[in-house]
Amino acid sequence: MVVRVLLKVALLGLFDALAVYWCVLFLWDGNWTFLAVTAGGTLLLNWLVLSSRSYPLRYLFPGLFFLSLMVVYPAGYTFYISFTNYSTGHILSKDEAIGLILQRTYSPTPSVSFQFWAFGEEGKLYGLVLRGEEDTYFLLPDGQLSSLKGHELTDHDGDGVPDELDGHPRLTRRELFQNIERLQTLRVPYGEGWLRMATLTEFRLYLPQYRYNPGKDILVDRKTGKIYRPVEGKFVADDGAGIDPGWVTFVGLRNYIRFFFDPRYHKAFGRVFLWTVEFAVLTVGLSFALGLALAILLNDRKLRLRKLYRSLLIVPYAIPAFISILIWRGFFNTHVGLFNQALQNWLGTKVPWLTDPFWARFSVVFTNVWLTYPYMMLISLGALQSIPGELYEAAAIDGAGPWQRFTRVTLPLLMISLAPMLIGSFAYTFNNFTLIWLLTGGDPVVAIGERAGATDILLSYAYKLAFQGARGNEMGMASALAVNIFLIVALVSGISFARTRMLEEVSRGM
Amino acid sequence: MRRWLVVTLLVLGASAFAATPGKLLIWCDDTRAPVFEEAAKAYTEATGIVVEVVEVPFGEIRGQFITAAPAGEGPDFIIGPHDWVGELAASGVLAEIQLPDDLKDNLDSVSLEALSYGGKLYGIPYAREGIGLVYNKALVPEPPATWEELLALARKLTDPTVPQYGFVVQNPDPYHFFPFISALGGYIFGKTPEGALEPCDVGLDNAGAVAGMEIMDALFEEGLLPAGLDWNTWTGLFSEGRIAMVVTGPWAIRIAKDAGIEVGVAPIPSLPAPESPWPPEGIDLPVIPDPAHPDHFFPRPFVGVQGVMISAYSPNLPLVEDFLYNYVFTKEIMLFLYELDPRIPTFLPTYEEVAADPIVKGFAESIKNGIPMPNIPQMSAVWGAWYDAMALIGNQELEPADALHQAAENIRETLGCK
Repeated sequence: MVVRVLLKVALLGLFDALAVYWCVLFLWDGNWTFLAVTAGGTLLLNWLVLSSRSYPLRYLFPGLFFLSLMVVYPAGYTFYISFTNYSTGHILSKDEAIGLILQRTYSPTPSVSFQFWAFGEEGKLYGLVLRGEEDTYFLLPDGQLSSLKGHELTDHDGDGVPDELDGHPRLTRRELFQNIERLQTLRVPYGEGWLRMATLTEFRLYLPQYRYNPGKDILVDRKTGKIYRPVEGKFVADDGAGIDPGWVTFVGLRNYIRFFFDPRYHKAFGRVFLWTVEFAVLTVGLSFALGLALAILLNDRKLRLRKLYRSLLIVPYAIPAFISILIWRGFFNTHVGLFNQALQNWLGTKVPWLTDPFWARFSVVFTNVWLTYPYMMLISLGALQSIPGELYEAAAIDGAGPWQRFTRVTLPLLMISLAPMLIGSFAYTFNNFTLIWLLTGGDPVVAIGERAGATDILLSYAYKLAFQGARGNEMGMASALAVNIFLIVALVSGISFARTRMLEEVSRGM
Repeated sequence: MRRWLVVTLLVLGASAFAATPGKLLIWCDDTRAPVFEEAAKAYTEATGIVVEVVEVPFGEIRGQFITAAPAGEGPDFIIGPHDWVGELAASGVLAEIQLPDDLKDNLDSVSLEALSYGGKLYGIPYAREGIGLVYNKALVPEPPATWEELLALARKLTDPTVPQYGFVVQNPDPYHFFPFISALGGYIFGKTPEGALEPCDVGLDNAGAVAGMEIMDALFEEGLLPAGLDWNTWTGLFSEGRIAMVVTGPWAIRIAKDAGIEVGVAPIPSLPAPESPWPPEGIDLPVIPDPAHPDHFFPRPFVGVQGVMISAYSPNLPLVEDFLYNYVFTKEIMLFLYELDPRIPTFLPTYEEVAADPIVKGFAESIKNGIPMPNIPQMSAVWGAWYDAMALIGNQELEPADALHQAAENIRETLGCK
């Protein structure tokens, strides 16, 4: 008991020490969100561990914690991004973007440069001589620039390169390298800018390129005098020229409006939406029909070798989809695929399985039915077992034929337990990115410049917008699409669950 | 995000990975690291300056550099492909480079152009690559000298029922079609008089591009060129010896060698113009006539270039230049680099040495008239629409003129040129 308490206190202490360290780092970095989350989380954890009143919460906490971390937070963040212009070139905050832009310098043309020589002994720097076209200066190693007056420069061999300054010899190349660290970091104020070592023999004048006026919120290019104003998260001049990088800014409902009213998006969006629904309905419908038919067959006690058939029929479900989808893709290959080789041999023809819009959709549904029917068969088998045999006897006595028994007894009773599974399956198929991406990648192309191909579903379209957009990565648009998908799936599920509840009430009334 | 990166780096104690004055820091991937370590050793011996080479996975260099450099956390220079230059230079993280004349004269000029942005040089090229005509010597003992010869060979060797193909181009991805689009005068972006790319001058639907794609379209129509032939499919067929000629790059040579196929590399033959004279009067097209065959023009593949790019935030600019000019761009180091990363050297003294290899020489000849793949960020607006156009031409759903026009219009619209 004592050991347990000690261990608990030691572990908690260690964790708290680490948390305090992180909090200090976040505080120092000015990252308030992470600071608040870390501090709050640590306090909560301490309360959970130390208080006896919170005992039951200890078991709920890990689940809730990971739920918020991996579901609620990403969902909330996606929602937030969908109202911004987050995209390539608009990733930083405004302050960060301005900070970056203000660091830019330029060397004026014609460039103002000074040849330099360093003097000293044994690698100890005494001073530098900077010789420009008009003036020659004396520069102390600490960056103080003064006139060469009062300093004596001698050129022993008369080759134009001074050899001594106030009795200090010129540094050799190797000695210069020993001092390079200090020389390179020198920023010598000169005129409106500063002098900086540009090469191993030259100092050059650099000027800051932009000036920011916080009152008017404008940037002025000092080189050209052009004025840049913030427009939709980017500084833009009157002639349309912009300065990168831009920043993230709120754009209200623009991303959503674009999907419905911008012809570049709404045509593709409508088509992809319809196909996604078709795809999900066809897959769930066909695979359920096939799975149920097989389940009824296998449920018949008169069938021999039932267990063998059942095992074989489950195989598609047991192979990882990542592998089987790629194998199917190989089968469908127009030039070397199994199907076309067979068709070529028997009928002397080829079918463009994955390159024609109709056949590509056919292939997608076909493959997905093959992947999904074992699951449908399994759940149907389980549900069939739970229907009491007396019901069939009663129905038979009432004079119902096999078809009537199926539609009046089997199907309604099955639906009570299977409907939630079908809804889940529908939602899963609706977002079955893996299948589309591995089998067709959304291809074939339908129209030039529409990012979505004939077999793209909403989720793969969102992926293409987010990571393969024509204008770089359009995270804002993709997030808006993701929110739309969420709303659609939530709506469909909501309606279906409401209907299922009605079925349950019917069965309770029975 | 940047702050978060800083915190992470601090927590991991990784602050040693930032450039510090008086010490050079290089970011490159593991293939190239040994070369720079070798050069670094010589430099440290000669000057006492420490040079540290940090291996960063290739895919992470660009992204990390763009955030780390302005924060003072980046390296002095990085090694990467030329299509990074546009984005990096536009973000202001690359230093403009003024090459000394003697080094400039020793470097391939197309490669220098590839690393320029807005008419200014932002990188020093060390290797170049591009596509050419790779042929299976068992089926094609001598490469075709003219387009007509190539067509005759393709017709003789093609039988889709086997399947066997005489001449293929990977499709619909557009990269491999560019030599055919460019031969008669098509281009992606035109140029301003200063030599900067002009994103609103899209030449993907001009007379030259359409004429070039008509030639390809005829191949599709005749059944010589299979539509939708992707990388996996054609390399599979090629390994089985069922493809005689293919337009591809050095990356496919290894596959042929592994399969025991003996291959040769030659330039793609010059393409015949649809009418004479070409370009038609009143139209100005950037074409290079083939002196050996009248009314034929050289295909101009994309050239990709690898190079050294210097951080604008490097506190060591003078040292970096000294190191690169005198210790990296030397015949020996460039030769060592070629051994580890066997792409065509841009450093001409080294190239002359390795040109004894017929495959290297074949690709180098093929891209002699090449055009650097545009490195401006606007290029991302091109690929998607261009891909769509190539797919619809290949599937015979649209004529080249319509497909290319729609694609070019879409690109102009995306880039805000209309």
